[in-house]
Amino acid sequence: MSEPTEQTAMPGESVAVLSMRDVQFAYPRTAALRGVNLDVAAGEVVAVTGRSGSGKSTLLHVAAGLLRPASGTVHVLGQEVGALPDAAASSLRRKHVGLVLQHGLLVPELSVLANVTLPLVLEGTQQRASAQALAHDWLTRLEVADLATAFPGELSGGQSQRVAVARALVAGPALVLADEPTGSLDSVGGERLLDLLVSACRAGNRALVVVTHDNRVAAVADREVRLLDGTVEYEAVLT
Amino acid sequence: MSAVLTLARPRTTSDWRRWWLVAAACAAAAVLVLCALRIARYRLSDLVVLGRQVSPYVQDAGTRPGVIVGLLLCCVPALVLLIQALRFGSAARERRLAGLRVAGASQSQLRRIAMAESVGAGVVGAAAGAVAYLALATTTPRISSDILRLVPYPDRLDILAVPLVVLAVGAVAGVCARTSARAVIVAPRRVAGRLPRPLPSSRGWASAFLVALLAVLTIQVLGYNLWPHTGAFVVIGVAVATAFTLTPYLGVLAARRLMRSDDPMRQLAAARLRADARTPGRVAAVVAACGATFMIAVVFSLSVWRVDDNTGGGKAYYVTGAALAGLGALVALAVSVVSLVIAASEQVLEGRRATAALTAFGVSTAELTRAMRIQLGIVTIPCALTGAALAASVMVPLLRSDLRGPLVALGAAALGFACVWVLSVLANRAAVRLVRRQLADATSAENLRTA
Repeated sequence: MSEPTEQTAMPGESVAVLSMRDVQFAYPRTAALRGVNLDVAAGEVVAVTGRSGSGKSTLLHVAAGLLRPASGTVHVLGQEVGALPDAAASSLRRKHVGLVLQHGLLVPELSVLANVTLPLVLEGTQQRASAQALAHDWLTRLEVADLATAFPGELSGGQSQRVAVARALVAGPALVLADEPTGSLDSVGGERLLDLLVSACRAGNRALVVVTHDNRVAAVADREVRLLDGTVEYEAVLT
Repeated sequence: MSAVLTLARPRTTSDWRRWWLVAAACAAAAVLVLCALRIARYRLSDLVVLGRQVSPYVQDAGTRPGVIVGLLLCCVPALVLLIQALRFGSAARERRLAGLRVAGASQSQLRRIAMAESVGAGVVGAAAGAVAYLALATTTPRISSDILRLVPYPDRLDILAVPLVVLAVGAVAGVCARTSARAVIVAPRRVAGRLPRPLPSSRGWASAFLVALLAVLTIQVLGYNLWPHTGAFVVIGVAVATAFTLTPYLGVLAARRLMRSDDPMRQLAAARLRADARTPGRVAAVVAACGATFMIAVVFSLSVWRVDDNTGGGKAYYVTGAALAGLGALVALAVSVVSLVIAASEQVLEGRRATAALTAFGVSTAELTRAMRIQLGIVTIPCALTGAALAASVMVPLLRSDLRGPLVALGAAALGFACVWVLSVLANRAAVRLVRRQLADATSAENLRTA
């Protein structure tokens, strides 16, 4: 295995939080990504749009290090994710990448509070009490603190997504990746969740990449990246 | 490590069921291993315990190794049950593991969680098995007849053997869990799941074991007088390894054959069999051994019955030995049926949406039960009969003179075959009956909304 490489910044140039270069990924019968380039800076909100099957979710999973690209490089905070062994990539994800998937993917056997503390517990660097306090703080900010002792099976779709957002943000990541976070919610619930997610990221100067079909997401983003058949069709800076 | 231990704690009913199954399998294995070790340590000084003798099968240096190997072979169904138990509740577990992965758990942390879950259950189960062994070894010398007093009274070395076996069995459970824990993937096209293990990967091993079995058999036949016992045990060991690596392919072959049928229920059975050929394969290997053992027990008992007994008690000695072997095979068959039921229940639970859809399209529960009967019987029943046929082909020529005449010999083989057929069909029916409730639950229209 090759050694993890570090991206070096030129004087006066800031290192992108996420940098993808000529990334290719294929499923057994389909090429999902064909040479995608993407840079996301700190505090930037990027909406990744495109039709079903265009490679949006795959792009997000590759960026998170959950899928390894067939070729090309993915750097998160200057570290090449694809070159890291699984334990190191997982540790990087726990500390610096928050992940929100469409159905939340909470652990059904754990309480809401335990779910949110998971990234801190798995990292093993925080005391249980301080991890729980931090988790409780995020649940309060996301307006679901009263559900701390509930279990995922008892939550509505919107509540599950808020808990998933709290879990994604609890470790103070520099990059938040969200795959259709409003996909299973009604318009009011989706809008509220989006407000909470975007404001939390902007307040913490976090980079946010949202994969979406939802035009409301594109409306609050700084930039839109549209994919078509695994390639970037166009990029547009939104005002 | 504490996080791993916290996350490894069983929480749901399904987790606890899995825990109990692992513990039960480990308890059975611990009892068998401790009994085998105690018999292996048997000395003439153990001859009289509490004024009573141990069984002649243990006293006789010629039959003692057979008893030990028999007990160790009975660990194989327990191991199959353990492996099956580790897969219990897999759909819910996959969701849980995927959730942990999204939260940042590494693959090695997930493997450690799986290992910690099983080591705990394995150690507790093995400790219970050790208590059962001590109870067995201390009470049977007092209550059973001479011939059935198989386990000698515990000795001082048990102080060492018991904790060692408990730890070893716990470690085996942990290793099985670690090796059976496949990589968890979270990907857009497979929201949550574990990487499937392709079946053909062990085809090389199956061929190698088959060649080794033929080689060992040839050497055993040519040099029987040189190493009669050791050779026989080597043949048994290689035969078990061959059966375990080969039988999953029989599942695949049976599925391919069923798939050609026009009957949709046979096609459904084929699809389910192809989805998991390993489990029926493993069970079929045990069932084949059970079939062979039954055949040997029947033919051997008949041959003993036909021989003139002038020794007084000689017939009882041989017939009881054969009956004990048959009883061991019966227990192994029952454990195998439990393994098969666990696997089938899991499959029904995971595919409950498809089952509910079939019911909605007009497929009756009786038809679905028939598909299940085909799925559970298509590999196991022929394997049981093949095991019986192989055993008959060896035993009948060997005991032809004792059986006095070819017609009696053929009759003995036919009787053995009938016994194995009836038992395997009954086992199949029992397995289907045990899965029927889950199948009926799966047909509920509520499952149409399940993810």
